[in-house]
Amino acid sequence: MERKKFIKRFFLLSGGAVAAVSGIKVYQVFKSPDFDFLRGAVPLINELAETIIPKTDTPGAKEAAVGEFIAFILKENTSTATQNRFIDGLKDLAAYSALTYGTPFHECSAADKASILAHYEKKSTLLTGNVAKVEHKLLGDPFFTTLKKYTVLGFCTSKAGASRAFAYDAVPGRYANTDLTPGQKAWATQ
Amino acid sequence: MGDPKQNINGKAISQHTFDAIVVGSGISGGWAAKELCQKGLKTLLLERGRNVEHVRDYPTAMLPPWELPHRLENSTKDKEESPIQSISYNEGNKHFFVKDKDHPYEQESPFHWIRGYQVGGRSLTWGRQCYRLSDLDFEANAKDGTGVDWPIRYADIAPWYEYVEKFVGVSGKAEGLSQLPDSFFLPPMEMNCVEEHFKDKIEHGMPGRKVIMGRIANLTKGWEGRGPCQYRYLCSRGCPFGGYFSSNAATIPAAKATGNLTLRPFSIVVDIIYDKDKKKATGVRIIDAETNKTYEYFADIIFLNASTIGSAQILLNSVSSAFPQGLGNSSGQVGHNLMDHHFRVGAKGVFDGFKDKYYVGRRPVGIYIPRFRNLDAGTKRNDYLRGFAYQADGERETWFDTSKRLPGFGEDFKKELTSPGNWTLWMGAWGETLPYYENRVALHESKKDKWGIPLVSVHFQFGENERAMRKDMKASAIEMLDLAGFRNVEGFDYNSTGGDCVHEMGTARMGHDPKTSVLNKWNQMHEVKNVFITDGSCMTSSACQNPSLTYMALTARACDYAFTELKKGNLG
Repeated sequence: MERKKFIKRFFLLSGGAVAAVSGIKVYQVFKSPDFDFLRGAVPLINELAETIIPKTDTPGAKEAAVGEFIAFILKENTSTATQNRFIDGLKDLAAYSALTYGTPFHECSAADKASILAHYEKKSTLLTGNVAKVEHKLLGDPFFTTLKKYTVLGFCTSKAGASRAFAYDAVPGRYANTDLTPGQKAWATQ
Repeated sequence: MGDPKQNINGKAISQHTFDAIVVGSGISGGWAAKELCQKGLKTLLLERGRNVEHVRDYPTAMLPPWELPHRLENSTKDKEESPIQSISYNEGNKHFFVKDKDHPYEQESPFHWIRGYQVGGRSLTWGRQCYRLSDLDFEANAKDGTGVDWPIRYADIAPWYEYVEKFVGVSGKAEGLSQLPDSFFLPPMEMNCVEEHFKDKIEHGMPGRKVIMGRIANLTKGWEGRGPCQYRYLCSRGCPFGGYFSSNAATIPAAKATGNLTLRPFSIVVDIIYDKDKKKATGVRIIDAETNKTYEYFADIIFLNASTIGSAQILLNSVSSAFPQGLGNSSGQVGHNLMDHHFRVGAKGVFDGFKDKYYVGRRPVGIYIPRFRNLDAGTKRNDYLRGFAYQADGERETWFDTSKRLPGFGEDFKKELTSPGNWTLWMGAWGETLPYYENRVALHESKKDKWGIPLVSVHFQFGENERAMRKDMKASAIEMLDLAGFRNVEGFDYNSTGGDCVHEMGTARMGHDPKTSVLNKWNQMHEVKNVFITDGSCMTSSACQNPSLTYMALTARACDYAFTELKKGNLG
C-alpha cells in the first residue's frame, strides 16, 4: 500500500516532468488504444520479432507466429498505457523506416532493419533506475521493451521455439546430473 | 407410525445423521475423513467448493506451454478480478484458486488470504515440503515465555509423524539432526553439481550448518498405488500420475474405498449446533452453495478442518446462549494469535564453473539448510528469538532469466538465449513468526457474504522479532554464497505480507489451560468435548518448518483418540 501511495504522490509532483523527459504527453497514454491498427500490423510485428529472433538452423519468431501472439497478449495482459505506447511505437517505426530508408520496414535490408531496431532499443533505455521504474509504471513500458519481452515469451513458449530452438521434454521421468553435449540446447521449461 | 409427518421427519433426520462430520476436505480434512472411515465410522465430509475428481478434473495437467494462450502469464482481467489470488496462481493452476471478487474479506492491515475452495482444497496446490517439528519447537514458548506452552512434546507426535509419512510417501535423506528429526523416507532426489559444491563448502567452512536434500511429498518410487513422480514440475495443476500427495489423489480415495464416506461438495458450513443440556455439539448447519437452501447434519463427533481462518470464522459464528463469544471461546482466544511464516528474503549468486555440466528433468524441490540459529548457547542470538531455514535451488539460467539482462537482438542474442546459461544458486529463508494476540481474525460487524455469513476481517502485522530476524536471513545468505565462491552475490528482501506464505496458523491454539487456549493436547475443544480441530488453527507456535506434515500427524492422532473416547462412551 505504501508503495502505491508513494507512486501516486510522485505522479502528482513529477508526472509532468517524467513525461517531458520521455517526450510523451500524458493524455496520449490514456486514450483508447487503436486496436484496429494493431490487428492490421501483425505482419509488421512478425517482421520486427523475426529481427529479434531470426530463423537460423532453427525456427525464428515468424514461424512461431509471434506477431499474432503479441497482438493478443498486448490486449489481454498489459495496461492501456503500454498498449498505447506499443501501438504508437509501431506507427512511429513505420514512418521512421519510410522517412529514413525510403521503404517500408519489411522491404528494408537486414542491416537497415537492425539499425532501425537499434534506434528504438536506444530510445527505450534513455531512462534508468528508479526514474525508469516510475516512468514505466505511469506511462507504460517503452515500445522496444514490450516488443522484445513478448517476442521472447511468445517464441520460447511456442511449439516451434520450445521444441526446436530449445530442448523440450514433456515427461522427463527422472532428474539427474548430466554432461553437456556439444551444441546442447537449453531446456525450454524449468 | 400414526403420524406421517413425524415419520418423514424421522426419516429425514436419520438420512442426515452420521457417526462423524468432517468440515473441509483439504490436507487435514482429507486425513480426518480417511482415518474415521477406516475405523468404521459413517463419515460425512463437507466441502464448501465444487468437486474435483483426481485426474478427471485436472484440465491443464498435460498442456504444453503453447496450449495456454497467455503462456502462463496472468491477464489484466484475472488481476482485476483476483488481485490477491493472482499473486499465487498462474494460467496453469488458477482454476484451483477462488475469485477474490466472489469471496471478499476485509483487510484491516494488508493480509493476503489465498484460498482454494474445492474438494482437496489447497492440498492440490501446496508446496509439498515435509519437515517434522522437534522439541526445540515444542518447548520454545515455555522456554522464552511467549504465548502459551504446547501441551505436547515431540515424543507425543513422533509415532504419528511416522504413521502419516508411511502413507504420504516423503522423499528425503536421514541426517540425524536434533532440530529437524528424520522422517520415514522414500529415496531422496538428487542434488545437482552446484548444490553438491555448495554443500561441501558450507559444511566444511561453517561447522554446524547442514545442506540437505529437500524433503518432499513427491514420490521417488511407486507408493500406495500412486506415482512415481515424473519430474515435470507441474504439480499445482494436479498430477495425473499421482506423483505427489493430495487429498484428491490419496486420502479421499482411501476414505471412499471403505464404503463409509459421504462426500458433499457445495456445502458451506454456517455454524456448529450446540446443545447446552447435553454439553456437546450435535451437528452443523450448512448452506448449499448451488441452491442456497439450508440443511442440518448431525453426528457424534465433529472434526473442524476448514483452514486456520475458515475454522475460526465458523467457531466465531457459532453463537449460542452458552457461548455468546463463539463456540468453545470462553478463553476469548479464538481468532487470535494468527501466524504466517515470513519469507521472500535471501540472496542469489552466480557460479563460474561446471560449464560442461547440466541436468535432465524438472525436480519439484530444491535443497534445504535446516535452522542453525538459537539451537543452543553456542548459536544464541541476542537480536531475536527462534530461527529460520533456507530453501535453495541451484540451476542453470534459462531464457526466462537471461532475456531480462541480455541486450540487443539478432542471431547472437538468439544463440545466447537458447544455450544453457550461468549456474546460479538462489536461497530464500522461511522464518518463524511469534504468536501475537493482536494478530487476529474477527467477524465483520455488518458486512456479509452473499450467503449472509459475516465477512472475515483480518488484522496482521509482523513484529520486531521478525524484522530483526530478516536482517540475519539476508546477511547469512550472502555470507554463505560468498564463502562458497559465488560471484555477483545479491541479497534481497522483497518484503513479506502476511498470508503470502500460505502458512496461516494459530487461531484456535492448543494449550494446557482452558482459560488461555482453545484445544487440549488431543486437539479436542476444552469446552466442547466432541469437537476436534486439527488444521493450522491448532498451532501453538509456528516453528519455521513447512507445517502441513504436522497438521496431518496431529489429525491422525486426534482421530485415534476421538474414536477411542467415542467407544468408551465419553463423547456421547
